[in-house]
Amino acid sequence: MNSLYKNYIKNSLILMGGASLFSIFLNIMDIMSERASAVNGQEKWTSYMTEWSQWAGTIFIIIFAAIGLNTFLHYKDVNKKTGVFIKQLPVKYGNDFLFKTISSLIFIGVTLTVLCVIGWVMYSPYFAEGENYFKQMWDTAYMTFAVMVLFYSIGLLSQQIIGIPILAIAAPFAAFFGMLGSFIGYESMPYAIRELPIFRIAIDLLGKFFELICFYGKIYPEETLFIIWSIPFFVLAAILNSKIDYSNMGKLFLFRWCRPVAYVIGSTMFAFSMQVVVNGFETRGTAAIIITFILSWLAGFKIIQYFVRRFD
Amino acid sequence: MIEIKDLTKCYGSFKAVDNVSITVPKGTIHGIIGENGVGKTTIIHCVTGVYKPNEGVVLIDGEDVYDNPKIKARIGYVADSNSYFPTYRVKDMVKFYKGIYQSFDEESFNELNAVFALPEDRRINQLSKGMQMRLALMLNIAIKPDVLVLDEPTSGLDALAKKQVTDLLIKEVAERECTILISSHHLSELEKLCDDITMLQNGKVKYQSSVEGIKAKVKKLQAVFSSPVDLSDVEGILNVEQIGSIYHIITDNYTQALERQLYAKGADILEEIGMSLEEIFIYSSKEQR
Repeated sequence: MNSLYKNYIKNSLILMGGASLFSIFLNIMDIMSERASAVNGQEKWTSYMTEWSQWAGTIFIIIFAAIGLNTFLHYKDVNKKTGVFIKQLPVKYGNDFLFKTISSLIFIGVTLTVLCVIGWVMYSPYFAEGENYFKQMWDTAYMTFAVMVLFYSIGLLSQQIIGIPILAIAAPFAAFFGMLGSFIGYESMPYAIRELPIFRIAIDLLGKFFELICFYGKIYPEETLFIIWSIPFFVLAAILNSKIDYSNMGKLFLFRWCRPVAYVIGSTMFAFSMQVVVNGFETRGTAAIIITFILSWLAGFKIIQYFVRRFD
Repeated sequence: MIEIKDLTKCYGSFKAVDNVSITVPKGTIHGIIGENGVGKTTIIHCVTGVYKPNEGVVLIDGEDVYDNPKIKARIGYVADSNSYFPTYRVKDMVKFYKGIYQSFDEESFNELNAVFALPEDRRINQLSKGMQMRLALMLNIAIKPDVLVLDEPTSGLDALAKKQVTDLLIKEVAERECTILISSHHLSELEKLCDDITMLQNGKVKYQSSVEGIKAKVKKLQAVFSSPVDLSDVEGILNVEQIGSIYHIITDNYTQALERQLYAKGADILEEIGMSLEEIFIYSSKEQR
């Protein structure tokens, strides 16, 4: 790991530390008020545990927020005078690729926010009646989009902050296939195996261990299997990472399609959103729907293009 | 060796640098001069791999610079103003450079700091402009670069520090055969320091030659005419200033043909006067305007 990423990791840790302390402070205040109103020991215990698990959950959110904030800080630096300094450094920094994909991600983030707002408006009482077709279309498209954004974000943010691209690439896929494999595998596992004492004990012990290191509440057997599944992916990724020269990674096939994907999906989602908004005001004929869709698609494309060029 | 071949860089539809070619042989110092906004910093950013050229290529010892960490590790870059992390201390920057550049020589940095005397516990944003410039120079010289790119390296420095920086650069070239590309508005310093000069105008190369070559090309003539004369139809004249019967003529095409034309116009006396690089720059810029 080079000094540049160490620098940003240090920033992340500072941010996380500060945010964690603030979170602990809030939780202590909360616990104290709960304890004051608790009648017996059981209630006190429950209040402790509730607060503790809330705090653990908060830490996870803080970590993601810190990563996001740190990415923002990094790009704030990059786009100011410090950016000149950063970009001339001899580090594995595929700036061509990163600028384009991150700018696409910024667009996706903005679009996601817009979509959430539109979604909220759509489900408001004003739209309670009718327009079921669009609501259905909205739900399907929105979920697909959200899942895609989630996987891309995890990968790209990890790469940006940790600077280990293969690990980042592996993460979403490991998570996705690991999750699928674990749930389907566990459910379809013969009952006899699932109930084998040694299997149960092993899964329970590992589950407890993961609960401990993840500061997470109850970890179910499926989740334990999922974590185990993912480990080889990460180890493989870490090994590959030490063998690969990333200086030309922007040219790799794997990354080439990030940009067109961001363009096509972003523009299409923008067009869907506009369709829904316009249709919310006035129901139109097929021709009007098609024209609105095409115009919105082009508008979405231009918005993405603007962001991509701005950071190019 | 630095080779800038047919470099073109655009910002949107604006062409900041237009088909510029510069070659800087190993162990020489090349200066880039021009008015503000002619593309000097853009060229420097292309040479340091910050910008990707729209057309053309920048090669260091035959290898493309852009997105090439191996080559970038051999380039030292001193920007015109501080671009380091503002909250870092001087010693943090040293640590940072040590982590980034394998060739970083802390001993060399300390030797330089014995001369420049920067407080190591001071944060970057608490250093004066001159101090920040000194820090950048020290850090980039301590990485022992094969190529050193400097953008206005003496801006904000006092006379003593300027002298120290100039001496340091000459030492780098003499002892390590470092190749230096330098952009500056302090033309009198460049004149003393550089082997070759490129003068830019509107993103294009106006003159490119050794300092002596440019001086030989652009001349100032003092002519005495007994009666007022119109020289606007004489080719190759950049500027004319008249004080009574004495005309100061600046030309970038001093030939015998020009002399004949001036005598034909009625010149009684024609005398050649030497020009500094700064004067050449000023008159060339005047012509442009």
